[in-house]
Amino acid sequence: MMTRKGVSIFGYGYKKVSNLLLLLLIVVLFFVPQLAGKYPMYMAMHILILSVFALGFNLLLGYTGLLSFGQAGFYACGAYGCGKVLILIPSLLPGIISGVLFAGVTAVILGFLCIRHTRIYFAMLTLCFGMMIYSLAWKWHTMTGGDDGLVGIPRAPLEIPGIFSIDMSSLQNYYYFVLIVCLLAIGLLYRIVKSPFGLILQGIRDSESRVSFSGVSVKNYRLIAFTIGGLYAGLAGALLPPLENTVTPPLAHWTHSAEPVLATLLGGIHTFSGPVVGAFLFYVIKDVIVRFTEYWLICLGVIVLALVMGLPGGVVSIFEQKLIPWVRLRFAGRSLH
Amino acid sequence: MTELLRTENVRKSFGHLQALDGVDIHFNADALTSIIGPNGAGKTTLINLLTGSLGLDSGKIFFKGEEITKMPTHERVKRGIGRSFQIMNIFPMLTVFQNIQIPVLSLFNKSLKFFSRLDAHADVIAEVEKISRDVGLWDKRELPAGELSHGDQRLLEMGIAMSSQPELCFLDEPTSGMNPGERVKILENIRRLSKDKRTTFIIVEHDMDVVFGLSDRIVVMHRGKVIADGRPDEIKENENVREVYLGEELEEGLI
Repeated sequence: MMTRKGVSIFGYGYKKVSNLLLLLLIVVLFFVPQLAGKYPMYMAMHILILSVFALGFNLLLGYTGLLSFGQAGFYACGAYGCGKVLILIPSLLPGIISGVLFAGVTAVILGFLCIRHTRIYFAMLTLCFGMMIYSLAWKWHTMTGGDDGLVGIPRAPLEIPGIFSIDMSSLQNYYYFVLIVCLLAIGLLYRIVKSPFGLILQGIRDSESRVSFSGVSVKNYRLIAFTIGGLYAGLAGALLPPLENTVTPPLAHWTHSAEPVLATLLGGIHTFSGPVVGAFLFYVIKDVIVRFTEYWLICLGVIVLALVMGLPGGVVSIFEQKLIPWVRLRFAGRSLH
Repeated sequence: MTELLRTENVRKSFGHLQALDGVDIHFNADALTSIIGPNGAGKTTLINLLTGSLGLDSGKIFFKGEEITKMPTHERVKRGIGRSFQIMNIFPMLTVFQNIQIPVLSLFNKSLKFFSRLDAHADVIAEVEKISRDVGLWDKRELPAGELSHGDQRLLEMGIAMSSQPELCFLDEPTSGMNPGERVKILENIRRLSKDKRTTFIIVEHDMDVVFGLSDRIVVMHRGKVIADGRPDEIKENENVREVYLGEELEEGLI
């Protein structure tokens, strides 16, 4: 973290350059429907959804020091909650909001039981609860549709009765909806990790007992972090049903919980942007490998393994530790003298 | 002198080992007290019980007249109890500045601010600056705490412990593993802070020069019991204490 300070690229501060790049990225994202076809748009939505999912997960792992293997459970809560409501009330906002809230409430309840433990015990508990949600989705036919899942979920219009109504049947409109919601969610989480609360979470990751000797209730803060992680998983899940029109039990399976884990490890756990970069790489790698073999997960696993062993800080750390100092040495060094 | 902390018949055992065997002790404000005793005497266990890191088997603990026997650590801290640890306990991945910022945020009741920026709280920033200057780590504020030297980490830990402005602060072997120069810095800090009369220190220490040089009062523990309690000159003359320490040395000599 400290290596960033005082770094200048082409005479500009690190902050300025990175803000500029961020702005550029957002502009490009807004022009994806015009510049590229339907498939990139569809991919971009999945990357955005996984980004939100993984960022919520990394609030737990990278910032609070808790490894959760049950995030897919909350993702499924969001997806089923949203799908169920959309079938009953064909309006986008109530669907998304109820999905997020359902996931949040579930996270508070399960979190209350999980945060009493840390490390492997916490991971195992979240895994168990996640799989319980999976079983419910699988067995509770009348509610979830069992192994068929929920089908025929409409991509309902975004409307507030009497004020406005935007049709979502075109993929492009829904893309903009997903993009804006995800950008807002990511921005909000950025504020949270840079706030006093965010610093306390990092303190808990570094030394739990020192934090309680600062007068802070570690359990309460862990529960709040867990709930935020659940809300973000829920939001990611809730954005899915209008896109795919179906929701099926595998969304809750623990192998799906591994997606944010892999994305976060790929990108890097100790940077805010790590999970987003990881989500992008996850889909790109998958997209490339799938063309050659259906066993793409093996290849992805090897890549992640190599990264974790050779580059524990993830891909983002290449930029921080190698690229920026190199650019500085190469270009900024001259202008200094 | 006002009484700060008092225990009534505190007991704690780990399996068959009776770590604390009915300890009645009280600490008054403004008296720097040292707790000494051979290894395994129960000194650190006593601190862990008093600060809420461990639960006790039986007995009661009172802080300023209020019973705190079952109170969780963070609430005891809010009431004015602090500590440093025998084994280094800092936030290694955070900067020196952030290390001190955490307890200060909690002290100023700002730890639950979700959406404000960290540097938006000028009062917190000013207080953190004051503490880091006091412990002599202002120049190193931007360094990750894990990269500091052992002595500086010790100083930082003391800074963290003091940031929550405790009325009563336990220091568990504050000078262990330090070189003489670093040791002087720590002792200066302790002297300066106890002169301010805001904090009463209770120190667990093995270095007898430190103990007899600093303390107003010395408590000697042995096998989970308090065997002597008094002014440094009284302790020097105490037969029981001599026996315990002499006995230890003899035993160690034989091995």
